[in-house]
Formats: sequence, C-alpha cells, structure tokens
Amino acid sequence: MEDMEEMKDYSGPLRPDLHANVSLGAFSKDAIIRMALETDKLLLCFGGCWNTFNRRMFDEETAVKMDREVWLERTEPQLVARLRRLFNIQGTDVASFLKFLQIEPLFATSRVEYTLDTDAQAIVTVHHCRALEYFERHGENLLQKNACDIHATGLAKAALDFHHDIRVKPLKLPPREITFGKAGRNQPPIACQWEIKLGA
Amino acid sequence: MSEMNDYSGPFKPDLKWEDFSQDILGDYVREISKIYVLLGGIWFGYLRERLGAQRADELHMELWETLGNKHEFNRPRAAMGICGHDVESFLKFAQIDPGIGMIFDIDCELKNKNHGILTIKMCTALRSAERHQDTQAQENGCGIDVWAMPKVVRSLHPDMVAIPLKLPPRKSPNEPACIWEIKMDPTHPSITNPELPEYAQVAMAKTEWDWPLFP
Repeated sequence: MEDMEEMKDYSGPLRPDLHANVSLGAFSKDAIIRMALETDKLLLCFGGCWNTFNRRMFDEETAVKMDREVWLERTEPQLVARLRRLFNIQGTDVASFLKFLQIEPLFATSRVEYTLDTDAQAIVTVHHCRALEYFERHGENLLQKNACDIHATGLAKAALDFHHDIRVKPLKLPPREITFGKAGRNQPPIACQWEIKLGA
Repeated sequence: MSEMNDYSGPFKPDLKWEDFSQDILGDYVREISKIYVLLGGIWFGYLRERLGAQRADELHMELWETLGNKHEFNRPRAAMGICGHDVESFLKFAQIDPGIGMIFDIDCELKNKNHGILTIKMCTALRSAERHQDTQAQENGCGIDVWAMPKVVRSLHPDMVAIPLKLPPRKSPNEPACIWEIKMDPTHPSITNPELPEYAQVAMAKTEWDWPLFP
C-alpha cells in the first residue's frame, strides 16, 4: 500500500486486493467521509422505507407501534452501545452524550449546533435536518410526526444510557412554517431544539 | 491539531469528520454497515414473531425492493464514483457495499471484462443463522440475495447475469458462504438452476417474474 497513491474515489480499475472490511485505507480521507455519510443516510433510509411500508400494509396505529418497538426497543440500544465502544466515549455526563450525538447517523447528516452552557446543561439546535426537509418536500406530514415522535423518545432513552438523571427536553419541534418571499422560499426556521440537563 | 483515533478526549462543539483519523473513520463506516445489516435481521425477526414465517418472507422482500435495490445499490456507487455498467463495476460495488464487502470477507476475481467471480468467504449473517441453527433465517436471508443479486446486476446492464454457483447450507464452516458468477450473457435463457436448494429456486423464480419483459 505504501507505494500506492490514495484513491479519491473508485472510478479507476478494480483492485482485487481491496478488502473494504479489513481496511478502507486505500481511499483518501475525503472518500471515506463521503462513504460514512452515505452509509449513515442508508441507515436512515431503512427507517423511512419501513415506516412507509408499514403504513401501506397495516393500519396507522399498528405501523407506529411496530416502528417504535423495532427502532426504540431493539435497535437504538445497539446503536448507542456500539458507537460508544467504537469511539471510546466512556463518560456519563452531558458532554459525553453530546459527543455521541455528533456521531449518531441522524445528527451526523444534519447541521447541528451544540452549546455546552455548563457541565450539567446544554442546548442542541438542529438547523438543517435531511429527514424533515424530505418530509416537507413530499408533504409527508404523518411520516414527519411519527419520525419526530420516535426521535424524541429515542433521544430521551439514549440519554438515560449515559446517566439515569440526564433529561432531554424539546424546546422546539416540527412542523415549522415555511414562508415565501419574492426570491422564493425564505430561510426556514430551525428544525428542532433540545435542552439536555443533568439533574432536576 | 493531530487526528483523533477515538473520541475519548474533551467535547468539541465544532467537531468535523476531518478531525478523526482514516482508521477510525473506516471503522465507523463498517460499524454503521453492521448496524444496517443487523437492522434487517431485527426487522425480519420482528415480522416473523408477529406474522409468521411465510408472511414475514413476503413482506421482507417488498421492503428490500426499495431499500436494497435502489438505495443500497445506488448510494455507495454515487459516493465512490462507480459509474460503469460492466462486470468490473459490479465487483467494485460489491467490495464497498455496506451489505457485502464492507462487512464480509470477500474475493473478487475479474477473469475478463465480461466475466467475474464473487466469493463471499465469511458471512456473519450466515454464521449467526448456523450458530442458532435457524434454517428459516438462513433461507430468508439467502433467498433475498438470490432474488436481489440478479436484479441489481441487470439494472446495471440488461445483458448482465448473476448466477449462484454455490449457496448455503454448507457442510463445514471452512467452505465459502456463497459463490456467484457475474457475466455478460445476452443469450442466457434463464437463471433457474435445478441443482440449487429449493428456497433458492423459489427466490429465482420470483426474480424472473419481477423482471420487466423489456428492460
């Protein structure tokens, strides 16, 4: 590998020696980051596809119940544990929870501002959320409500994996009002905002 | 500031992916890929508990029609600039696919520009099904691949075929999980192979049924 130049993408010939599962080191950092973000998005697509699929196959109530159980009960705990282990995020404080959010697929593919006010309190502001923008573009109000509900519960639950006394309080949630000016759509308000607090 | 190999240090409000080393970023891609595949298993297990194996089988395929054949097949190729419509491009995709090469140990042999062999030597999904002696999960998981693989190669090029040369179950853990021949063959009349296990024949028959007459 030493004498080979890093690949910026994989538009060149097949490299039979490339084993992505062992090392992505043949690629440049930019290429790996692109791949990371696409894999994050793919994971989020899974949620969207199965929600759409459930709603087609079952009634609304059943679909939401299935979503919540598969994502919140069976998947989210794995996601939290695996990413904490991989990035060695051992802390149990608010800052450690924010570190997890920064690498969590939904937040990682959104534009988010993290403000750690004190050791025990932070504000997380999501300026751009890909999922919300998709829902707004397609007029998927019900899907947006389901997804945001599950996300709110998931965040609160994930925080408890860090400390039994971390509370996640939504300060602002979708839907949001999109207005139009002469030049087209105005800059939309923030997608959502959360207060993360340790203790009462 | 030097690159971080993990995130055990202080919280960085302005964290960027570029702050991490290539190694940890590669590990992250693989971890998310594992969760992606794991989610498929969790989803199938949930459906099976609630609706029974047969219904779960049918519904699972419908989900993967969109998720696998569109998003999983297109997103990684777009991210990595794999734009070709030949056997080589398919093998390149297989190497970086979150559902194949990113998490399984595979071999890709390009015999010539129209002919390649994809060998999945170690498949964690198969290993898990074997460990739990869960034949149903194995047949469902492999059935999805047998159904999807020919479809995705054909969406790359109408003359491209994916023929399974070897499929689970296997007699020993030393055997490869599965072997696929990928080739350009406009004359290939059918992908049905009576030598294959029954679940694979059912999945392949569904693929042929799904294919449009005039792609």
